[in-house]
Amino acid sequence: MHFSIYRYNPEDGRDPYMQDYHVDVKPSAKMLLEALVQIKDELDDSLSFRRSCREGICGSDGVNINGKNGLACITPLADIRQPVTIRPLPGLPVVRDLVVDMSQFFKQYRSVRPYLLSDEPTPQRERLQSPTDRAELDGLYECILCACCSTACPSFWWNPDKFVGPAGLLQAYRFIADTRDSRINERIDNLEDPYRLFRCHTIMNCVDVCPKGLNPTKAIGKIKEIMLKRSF
Amino acid sequence: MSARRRAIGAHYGVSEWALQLLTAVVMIVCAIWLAGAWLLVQPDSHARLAEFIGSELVRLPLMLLILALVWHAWIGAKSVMMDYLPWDWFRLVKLTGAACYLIVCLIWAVAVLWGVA
Repeated sequence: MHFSIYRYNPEDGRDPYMQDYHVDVKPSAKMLLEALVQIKDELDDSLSFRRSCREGICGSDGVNINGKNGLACITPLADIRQPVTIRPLPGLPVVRDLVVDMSQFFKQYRSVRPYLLSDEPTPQRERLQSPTDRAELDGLYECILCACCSTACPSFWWNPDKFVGPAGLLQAYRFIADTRDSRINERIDNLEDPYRLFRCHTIMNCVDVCPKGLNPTKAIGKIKEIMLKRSF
Repeated sequence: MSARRRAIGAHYGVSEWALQLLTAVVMIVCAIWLAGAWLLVQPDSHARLAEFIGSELVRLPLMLLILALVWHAWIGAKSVMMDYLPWDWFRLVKLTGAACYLIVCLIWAVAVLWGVA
């Protein structure tokens, strides 16, 4: 297979460039990550990328594959058009090759306080929820924070310091929708802002690229709806 | 994160978003009304067109549509500039220019609508 991979090493003083690799992918290799590991093992051990669980759970190996963000470990080699162009996730500073600095992404994620805030006394065991209330969290809690969505969002490219981004907003709604959380007003106040929430223009790149099939745009729409209802 | 340093919103944004939706709905309703009126009357000369626009049943919805359009355009222009212009001074200049342009358009529309008949 023919691969064209983004290379950048801040220590060698060269500008970023695309490097071609031709590799006879092992017949057992099914996913893109396996081909990347083979390139690193057999052709070029200086190639840098992140990976960990290699089964779409940890969210480490988010890259831009032929112009679309995705996880290398769950992208079947059979489905990719050649030459396979692999670049780092767009919109974040590149540390080296396919490794990006995700500080800004996690800063926005932390800003929505992605944990339960309850004024109820801490129970002896778990906080119980009805099956209907629990079902509200489906499609929200599954996010693995791979950053594929936020780095596919033009609004996040332009205002990463001010716009929370689709991943952060999905998590914000995950706790707004959680009936065990008692700080909904505080959470809505946090987001009622022309930049933090309203930079979302429903472009829906986030929905298109989410490797877990989640819908941040829908969650953002629900936050806006709650905000609007609260105004009357 | 301490309470003093907690990120909070500026407490506006929802009103502009709601206004943009509202002005879009007003434009759709007025456009349907005006299209229907046009199909009913089908003015075929300048004199009949002037008479058509001069009728209060056309002029008022048309003015409402233009007002909604200007307001919608203002919110849209502001939003685009907030997206792409990170420099405050440049954004201020562009916003002032957009506001002046839209006000001139509005005055012109009033002059045309109330000047035809």
